[in-house]
Amino acid sequence: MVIDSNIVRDTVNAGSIRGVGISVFSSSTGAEAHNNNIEGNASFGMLVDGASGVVNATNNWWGAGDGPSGVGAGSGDAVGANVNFSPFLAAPNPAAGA
Amino acid sequence: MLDKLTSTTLNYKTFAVSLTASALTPASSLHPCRRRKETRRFMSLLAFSAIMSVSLFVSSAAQVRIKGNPGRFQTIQEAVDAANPGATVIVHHGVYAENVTIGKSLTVRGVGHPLVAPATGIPLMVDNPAGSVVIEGLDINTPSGQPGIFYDGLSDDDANLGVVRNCTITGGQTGILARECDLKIRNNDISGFSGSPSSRGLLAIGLGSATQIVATHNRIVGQPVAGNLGMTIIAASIRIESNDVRSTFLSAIQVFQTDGVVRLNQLTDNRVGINLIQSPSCLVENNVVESTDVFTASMNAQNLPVGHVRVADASNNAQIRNNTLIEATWASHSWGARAW
Repeated sequence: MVIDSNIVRDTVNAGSIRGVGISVFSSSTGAEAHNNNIEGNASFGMLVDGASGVVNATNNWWGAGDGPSGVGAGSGDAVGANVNFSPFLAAPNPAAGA
Repeated sequence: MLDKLTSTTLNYKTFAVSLTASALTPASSLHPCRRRKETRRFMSLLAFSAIMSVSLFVSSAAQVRIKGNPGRFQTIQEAVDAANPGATVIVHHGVYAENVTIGKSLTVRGVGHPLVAPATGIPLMVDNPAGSVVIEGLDINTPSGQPGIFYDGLSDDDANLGVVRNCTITGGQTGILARECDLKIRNNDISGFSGSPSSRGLLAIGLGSATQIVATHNRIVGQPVAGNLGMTIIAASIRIESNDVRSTFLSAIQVFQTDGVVRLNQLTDNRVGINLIQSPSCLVENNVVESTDVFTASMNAQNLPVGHVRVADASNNAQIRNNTLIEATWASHSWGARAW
């Protein structure tokens, strides 16, 4: 599964359900996400469950030039564990989206 | 052709009336023999006038014809039955309260958007034709619980591509139902469908990758009723492109055990944008998915996170690229695209 050059933004929390841009779960090993503009998602830009291994999510824009928050040290959308987000894009990918 | 026929009709009527008027010579001014002769002449003219009126009535009321054939038909089914395989049946503007079944290779072409509106049953059934059937330019009002068009290929044995295009289909439970056939569905407007337990603008059930379903430039408007989806494609090779699907209760586009391309679609105000199920070879690109609705807690019992792109089977080869997934907000938005 390749998730490439999409604009994924503005999910919100819905009660107990968290707003996540991209979620990977149920032992979904092998997913990759690159060159996406991921921003404005309420809880996580990307969330991966423990059974799915580490997701290759390099070269994405996380909504801030200093990279994702959460596990990351930046101020962009949060990423959880098992997300290989570095390197990240310092600016949105102009070719992303429809 | 119809205009020409109408013009001819008026000329005939004028002719008949003028003859009738000329026959009304004051009877009292005539000799008895001349009077009997005039009476016979008048009666013959009256009979001629009546004959002309009857023939003209039939001509002007006939709405259906077969291209290249001088015959006229009162119903679509009569023309379909009379047509040779490969013919084109022309359906002129009007209302046709009938159920049409097509079992041979034909083109049925509506001119001026004729309306097919039976009180019950399937308005238009394509029943295992030996060859392609093209349906175009018809408006269809579908009775409750029925598909507007049911294209049944019965095992897809003819390997010909059927076509449904430029039709407006309203009501019923399914706009277009395709079973075991190759079908190209283009530029149709489908709305008002509902029913239990599910209803769809388009439902295509194939036999695997040999079944070709192409749906392009259609507009599908759903309803906020349970089980309402835009389109579902099962077991086929697909090209779903440049469709506008909105306001469905569940998924705008749902594909199951299918491979192919979903691209350039505008999906608005649906609960789920694109739902790939066991479809490992799909390419999903350049779609705009916005204002998708929230999955409720009961439908998401495991309390999984809500996301635009949701992956639960990453081992497949599906690609999701260059889509714009926006505006997921509380009470009206959630998943843009998900794949598992």
